[in-house]
Amino acid sequence: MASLFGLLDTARSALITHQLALNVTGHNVANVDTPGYTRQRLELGARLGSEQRPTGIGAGVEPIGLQRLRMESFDRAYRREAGGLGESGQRSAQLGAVESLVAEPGDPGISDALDKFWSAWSDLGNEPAEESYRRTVLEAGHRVSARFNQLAGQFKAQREDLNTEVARVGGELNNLAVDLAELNGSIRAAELNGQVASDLRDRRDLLLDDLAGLVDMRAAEDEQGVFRVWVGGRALVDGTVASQLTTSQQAAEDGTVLTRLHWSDSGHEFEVASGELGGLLDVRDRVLPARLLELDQLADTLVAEVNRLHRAGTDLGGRAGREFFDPAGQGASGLALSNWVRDEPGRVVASADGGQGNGEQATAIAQLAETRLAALAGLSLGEAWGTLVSRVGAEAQRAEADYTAQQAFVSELDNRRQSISGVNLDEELTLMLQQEQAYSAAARVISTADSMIQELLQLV
Amino acid sequence: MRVTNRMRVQDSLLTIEQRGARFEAVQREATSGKRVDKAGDDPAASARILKLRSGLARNLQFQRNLDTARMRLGHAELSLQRATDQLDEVRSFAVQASTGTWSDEDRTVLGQEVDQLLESLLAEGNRRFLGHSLYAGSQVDQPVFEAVRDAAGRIQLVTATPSGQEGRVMVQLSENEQLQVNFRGVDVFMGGTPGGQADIFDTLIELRDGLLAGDEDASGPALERIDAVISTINGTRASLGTRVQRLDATENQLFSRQELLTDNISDDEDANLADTMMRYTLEQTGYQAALKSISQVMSTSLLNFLS
Repeated sequence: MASLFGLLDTARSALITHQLALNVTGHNVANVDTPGYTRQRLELGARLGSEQRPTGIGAGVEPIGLQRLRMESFDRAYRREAGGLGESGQRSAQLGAVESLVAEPGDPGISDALDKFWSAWSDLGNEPAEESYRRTVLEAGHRVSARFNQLAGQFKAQREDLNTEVARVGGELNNLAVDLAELNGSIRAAELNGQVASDLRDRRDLLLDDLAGLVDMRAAEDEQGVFRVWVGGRALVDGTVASQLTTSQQAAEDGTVLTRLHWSDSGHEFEVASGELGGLLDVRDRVLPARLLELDQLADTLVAEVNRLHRAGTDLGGRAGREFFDPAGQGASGLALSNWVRDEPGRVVASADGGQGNGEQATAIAQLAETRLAALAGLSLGEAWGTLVSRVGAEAQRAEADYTAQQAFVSELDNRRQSISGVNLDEELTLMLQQEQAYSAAARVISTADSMIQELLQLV
Repeated sequence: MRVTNRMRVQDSLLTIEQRGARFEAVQREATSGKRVDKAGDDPAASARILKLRSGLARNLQFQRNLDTARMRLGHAELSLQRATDQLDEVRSFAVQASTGTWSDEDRTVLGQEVDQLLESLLAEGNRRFLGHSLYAGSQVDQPVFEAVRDAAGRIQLVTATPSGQEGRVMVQLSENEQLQVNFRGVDVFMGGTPGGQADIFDTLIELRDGLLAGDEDASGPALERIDAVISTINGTRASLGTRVQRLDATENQLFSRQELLTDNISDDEDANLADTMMRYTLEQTGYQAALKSISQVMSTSLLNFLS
């Protein structure tokens, strides 16, 4: 009804509403830097004059709802690619570590040790009657063994580190599951009266982003409002119920112990396709074992070929040669000088015809540097190692390129989300000016109505 | 697209991270001078570099082997020279003795001289240096020639030990090339046949015995045999000369190969410094430009304009 007191009421509604709007703006401004924050807007609606006569003059303004400006489809797109980012980030870091272990060509490594080994045999071939040259051969052989042992050990140590990382991710997943389940409950409770629990939802979305970086996941809210999160094909969170993962230690075929994740309730293996966990498992279970196998093959071939030639020659004492490398040593970790020659330089073979002045057997061993071997698919020992180095380098290079590209891509997707949900201070400040003016104007209306009422009262 | 404060911050951070990483990589290249340090810098080149380095190491090894061969052949040359000098001496004695104008005393003295030369040549045949025997095969701890002596210690017979003749001593000069650096004693000093026409020891024993016995006709046939021996030794020296020529040729090849390999390695591994410095300047400028624009974007806000 159009009356002075009605006017006061209208202006009062404006004051309260714009004050509320200012609060919302203030909340946005305060959270300009908060990760995962979704900006909020107070929805305003004109207040109807009276229910009986709705076409009459209205009664001011009222808040009709709090808008949470967020697009779920953008979130889904972001989380799909966040898994790829986590995966490529881990692969890049871990494969970079493998590259550093290999060291060459920047720092001396196995190639350098092998070159010096062949050189020592060649020198012995020139001075086959000398014991000192045999000592050099033994030292060079020891150095080659040490390099192989060290690299294999470092690869295995990295696999162990990755076990620790897998367990860590398992723990994080468990924590996220529990937190998500709790939030689901809080959100349900807070939204019972029909309001949107914007800040609680923001927290949940943030946890979902973290989860997406760790594993490939899917999340959805059904019509009843029950929120579920699926990971690896199974439900990690079902409303307020959180599933958990346990770790187990299993032995692989080569004897190394691997940490695996299982669902606690069913015992089924936890299957992942991407995310940080995917990246860790790829390096631990595919890349490192493959490199170790190649390294072992290289070491075993070295032992077989050197021993074969060594046995066919004669040593300093005129004895028939026996093994140079320990034939029982398996792979790169087991590469070592044999007990027969280790402390006995005189047992190192040089001669091919039994005469002390002949060094042709030592020279033949030195020729192994260039010999193409069937056991290595037609490559020489040096070439096979070079192939390994090249492969490690290419993988590291590709992983880094993937990571850089994925970073840019994910950044774009996040920007898309931000453009809807993020806070722009200039925008908020402008709105604040608008709301302040509206508030001032409403106050002016009140004072005008008040002075009009005063005039009326003066009449009496 | 609507831009928010956080977007600006995150974009700036990403720019700093990625540009910073590129800048750091160029810095590393400039300070190390190496284009390829980690295998990932250029995987194909990494494998090539290792292979070339191995090739270079082997090339240096062959050069070392070649020096060893040169030294051995050098000592053999000196030894053959000594033997030749001594044979020339014997020859002149034999010529003198054949003139028939000498007295028995002179002949005795001459005979004793010949005996000295005989001992000397036996020693030459068994000569060793640095643990190597010049005229043995591969059984270097055995003597090459053995002397049977009479009660007075005089050599009556020199035999070539069988074990001292067998075996080759080879030096590896390149992948497929080996050079023999020993000579068979029985070939050099006995013409291949112990007791034959060119057996120097047998010749000198005969000459000495003849001179000591006062036989005027001893020196005639001895001269023929001495000439045969000298001819044999000259043949050996010619063979040695051929081997040294091979060494020279191989040495040139090895040196050229060394230069080639070093260049190839450098092509792959070393940074082109002019190129690197240019990229360094580019990255540095780009990084600074990014930082400047970040500072300006971050500090522009409506607050600057509100009183």
